[in-house]
Amino acid sequence: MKRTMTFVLAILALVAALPAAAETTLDEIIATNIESKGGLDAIKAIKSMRIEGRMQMGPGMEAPITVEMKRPGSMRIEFVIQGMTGIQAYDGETGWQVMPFTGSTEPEKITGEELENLADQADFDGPFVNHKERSETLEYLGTEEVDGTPAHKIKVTKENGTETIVFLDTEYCLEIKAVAKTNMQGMEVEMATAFGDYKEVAGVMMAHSMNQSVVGAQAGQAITFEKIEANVDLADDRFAMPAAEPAATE
Amino acid sequence: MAARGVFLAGLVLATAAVCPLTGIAAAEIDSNTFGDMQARSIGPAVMGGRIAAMDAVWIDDRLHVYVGTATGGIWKSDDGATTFEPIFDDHTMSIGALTIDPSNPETIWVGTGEAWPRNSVSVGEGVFKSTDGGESWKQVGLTDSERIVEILVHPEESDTVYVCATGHLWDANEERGVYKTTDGGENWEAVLQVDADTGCGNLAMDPQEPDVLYAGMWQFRREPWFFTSGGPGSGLYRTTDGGENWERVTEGLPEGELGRIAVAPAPSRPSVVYATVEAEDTGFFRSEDLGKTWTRKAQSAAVEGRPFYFSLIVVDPVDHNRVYKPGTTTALTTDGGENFSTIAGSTHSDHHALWIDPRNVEHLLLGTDGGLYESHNRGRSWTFRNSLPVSQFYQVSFDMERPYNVYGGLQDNGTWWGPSSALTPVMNKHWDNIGQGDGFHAYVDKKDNDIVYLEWQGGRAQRVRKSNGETKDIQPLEAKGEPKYRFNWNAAMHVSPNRDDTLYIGAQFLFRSRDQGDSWERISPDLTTDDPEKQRQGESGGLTIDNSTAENHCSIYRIAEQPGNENTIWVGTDDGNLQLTRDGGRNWTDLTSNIPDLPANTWVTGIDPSPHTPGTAFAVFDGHRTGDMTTYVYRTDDWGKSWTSLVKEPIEGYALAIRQDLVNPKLLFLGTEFGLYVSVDGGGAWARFKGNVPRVGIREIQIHPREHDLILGTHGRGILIVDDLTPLRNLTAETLDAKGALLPSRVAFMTSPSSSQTFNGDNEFVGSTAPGGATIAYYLKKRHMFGDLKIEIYDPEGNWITTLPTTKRRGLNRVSWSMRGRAPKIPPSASLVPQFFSFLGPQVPAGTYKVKLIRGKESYEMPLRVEPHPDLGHSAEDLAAQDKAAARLYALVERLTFLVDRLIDIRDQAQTHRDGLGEKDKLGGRLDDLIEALEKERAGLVATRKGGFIAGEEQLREKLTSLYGSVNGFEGKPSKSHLDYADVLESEVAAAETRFAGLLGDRLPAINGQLERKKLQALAEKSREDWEAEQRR
Repeated sequence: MKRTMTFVLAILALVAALPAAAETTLDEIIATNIESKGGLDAIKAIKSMRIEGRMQMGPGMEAPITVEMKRPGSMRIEFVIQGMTGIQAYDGETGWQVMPFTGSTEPEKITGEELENLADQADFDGPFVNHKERSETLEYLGTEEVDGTPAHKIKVTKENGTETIVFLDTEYCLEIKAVAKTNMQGMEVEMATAFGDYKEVAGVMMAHSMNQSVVGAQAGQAITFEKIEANVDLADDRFAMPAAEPAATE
Repeated sequence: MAARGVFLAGLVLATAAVCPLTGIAAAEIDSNTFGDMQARSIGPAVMGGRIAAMDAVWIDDRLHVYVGTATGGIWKSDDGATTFEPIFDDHTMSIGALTIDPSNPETIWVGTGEAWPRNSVSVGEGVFKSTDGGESWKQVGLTDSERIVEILVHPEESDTVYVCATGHLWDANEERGVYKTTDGGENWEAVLQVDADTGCGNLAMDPQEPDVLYAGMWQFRREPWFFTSGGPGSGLYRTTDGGENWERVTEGLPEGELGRIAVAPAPSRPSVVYATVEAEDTGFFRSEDLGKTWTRKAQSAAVEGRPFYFSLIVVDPVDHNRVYKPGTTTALTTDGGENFSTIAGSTHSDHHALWIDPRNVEHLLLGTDGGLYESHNRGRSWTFRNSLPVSQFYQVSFDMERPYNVYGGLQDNGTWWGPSSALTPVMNKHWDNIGQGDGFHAYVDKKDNDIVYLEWQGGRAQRVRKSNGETKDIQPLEAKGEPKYRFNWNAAMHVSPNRDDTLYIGAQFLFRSRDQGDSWERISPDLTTDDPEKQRQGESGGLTIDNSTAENHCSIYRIAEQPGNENTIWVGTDDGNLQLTRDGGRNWTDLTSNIPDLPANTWVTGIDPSPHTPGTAFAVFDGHRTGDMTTYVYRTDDWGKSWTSLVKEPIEGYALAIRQDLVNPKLLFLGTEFGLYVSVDGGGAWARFKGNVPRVGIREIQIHPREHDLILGTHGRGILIVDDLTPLRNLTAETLDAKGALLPSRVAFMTSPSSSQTFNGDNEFVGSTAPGGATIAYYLKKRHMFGDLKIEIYDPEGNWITTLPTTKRRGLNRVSWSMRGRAPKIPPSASLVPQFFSFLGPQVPAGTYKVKLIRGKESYEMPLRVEPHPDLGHSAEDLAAQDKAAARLYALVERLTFLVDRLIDIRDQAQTHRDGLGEKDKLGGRLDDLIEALEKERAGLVATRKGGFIAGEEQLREKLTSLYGSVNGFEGKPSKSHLDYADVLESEVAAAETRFAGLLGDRLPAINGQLERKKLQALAEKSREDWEAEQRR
């Protein structure tokens, strides 16, 4: 540990001696983002994840949540309310859900904008890993304060035109906030997600806290990840839409 | 460890390239120090505020509306004026002109600085432009124009824009007249100027020939005590070459000096042009030759009244003879000006903006002193769009009810009161009107909460009984031999902080009443300068006499009795005297000359005697009505003998109100025309409080002594409340320097969430209500990035209760704890139990809890006091009975869950074995029998039918969970039927456990024997310990 500290201090001294950095470019910021997370190799070495956490939906109301993800873009979210398990899943093509709370235990297809949102969430790497090979367009919009913290502002535009603004803190270039325009009940709203509690999982820095809220609204939803396991065995059929009724009612 | 070290090193190395590590900054405050301390709006929007400008555009089939308000910023609607969002909160709130580029609906031009220059008008900061529909703004020039009344964009050339810069109201300035840009605002050329006293009062463009323009130039000036409209500089001008050359038009118009002129060509026949011209004989005029010559039309008071305030003509897009003239109400002619009638009688008076839908001329939007209205029949009937919280308060106060109510008077909208919080968010329905005209001060009688003292303009004081509206005029009247009493437009009124029976009102003299205003004692000589030059309001107005009391001067504006001493009274006047008596009014000292660097006669806008230290007081002054925009804030610690200025960066805007905190003497709040400023070190350093407080004029600052809330009376954004100042009071220099700290909050009272149904659609302002739960505040010097940041709550015995998620921002953070533990685990079923409180854990008992903030490896601890709500009145025994019953049912629910989970577990084990066996296997048959028996048993414990709760199936789970919710949702004693039913359900749970044990006892030995023979794992029941460990997650 002592050696590490010495090394860190030496690097810091080196940094101090460097001339002022030239104009910051998008590529440099993204490179730093990847390095801060642990590097491309470490990121790519993770093939699947199981995340356990809690979702707070209102004062005193919370639900256990489990998220399973598998490369390249499969995801299954389960959450439990009053002993009933809701499921949302995506296998790379089809999105589906079981929402037993309103009485239906049949899996239902998810379509339209909801499906796109789900596919975005299922994207294992996000827009910055190997960004030049990806379909999104990235644009650096300079720096802006996010809740008092200076941040790099990057606009991510998907092929279909939807835009997300991602803010990376200027110290580590890690994501601290994303703002996306989305449709809720037919109205366009801006949904902000703040990221925090970065912790290392299998050599990769991962946010363990997310606070989601509609921009301008008072209350939001907080999700805390209590445990993230990397490279767990996840069979493909966990993500595929079941033909028949699943065991949602147990 | 090695891997970790390499990782860290990599992190630092990578960081060096573009994200240099910065050193630790000094602990100074800025706007982000206050972090999550956010104001909340309680509206009201039941009445509007003044709408000064408006434009709207159809994009595809959706109508987008931009509303520019007098002092509340710009609001945009993307749904045809149903809902609105503010889009200009970082800039001046005063809007004079708003124009959408006709060839690009995303380009919006805004002229700031309202140009309907009444006495209470605010100031602008030039021209702003947005190219993204109002999402972002750029200031593009004319920054010293102060006010702009019109912007015209060339219909084909987006970069060619004309600005009608009205200019300074209170002094001369050069940057006024007609300006033109041809490069989208990069450069501006003054194309028509008269002199430094004359600005552009109105500008219009020919709808077919955009190089033809008409400009009404206007000479005008306001002083604190006088207004002049008109002079030799005024005149009507026209150009036919895009402003290169202008000719003054006179033929057919009044002779002599002119005042404000409005002009408008008819879109459907532009050779027809209409004008109103203020003069000795103000009139309405029509030209049929592109404005060269004019003919006087109908004489009508409806068209001619108050030209300085109403100077707008709107011609129907399809009918050149149909002309709207907004004024005190809107006048309409349908015959080209021969006859006028008034319309829109149901709307608030004083109309300043009118938009006619080009797709459907029946459809109108109207902006008034009381908000926005919409008509679908050309103005015959109107709907109020009550979703804009832009009410313009002068003073506000509060009472001691629970929740407390807020009282206040508004520009042209009387006096209102409403609750600080409610079961729903505070909405329009919660507000009640109790005073007419323009409202100002309003105070509840401290001995009778039903009585309110209020006033309307010019000191017309009234005593109003809220419950029945009974109103008595109580204004002091001249005693024999007394001179005429001079009351300000916004006459000072004050209630004693020391005695429940004492009310003050100020004319040039100070009056005191101790009998609810039935009689008044004069306790001062004339405390003003009594300058006769400043008492000519009867002649005020210029060409059009306008004596509304708005120019009343040499009068008392502020009164403040010293906390702790009823005989010490501070008085401030509109003509700049700051007076003090320390013997109940027998002797008065004018302190004005003791104040350094304060120009003579600068209006005293606020006095706050310290609630902590006798002799210490704060005073703010406002010279903007003479063109002096300097901020003046002073403090004295020796009864006014000497004063120190507290003004520092980043304070801006003329000062309107100041308040020292009731608990921490170093905590100061300052309101200026441009927002709220806070100091935590007695005025050494200031930061603007930006948490949901726009750059709006803060006219009054109050602190509620019981709830510790900051109550802001804003002139343009209604009433804002910052809940619970306790964390801010504890933001000491030491705290600011720490990396993190827990901060105390007010005592948390236990209440259950409640609600009230409303189905009002979207066209109503929805405010907010006080946050429920216990607030936990913490300070972070930097945004938290790595490792956990969480809050754990422990009961008085030290047992963990719950863990709360946190926000991570720099500065103050606030999270709420519901004062409940985690919800019980409920058995899986096919039905949701529709009992809200079954989703929640039981409320914790009163006591002192421990809050632990964990920040990476550091942790901080703080006690948190939880108390029963004092208003609910449940006895300790009843509260304990509820705690006991809820805990018992909680345990019973979990006992059932454990049973059902075990049942399912065994069933699934059996099913797994069954699936691995052949069809005819004997063991298979036994397993089938077991599974069937278990499923039958389960169907009696939990709802299994499809369809959810609407299917109405109620088994033991549903009954038990519902009962738990019922008991959990009421703080007091559970009813006997609840307790009896708990007995019934407990015996049912016990019976089910017995049945389950029997069911397994009959079958498991044989099955497990066979499994053993097949070398398969025996069916095993989960232990309670294992089950509980699974739930701990």
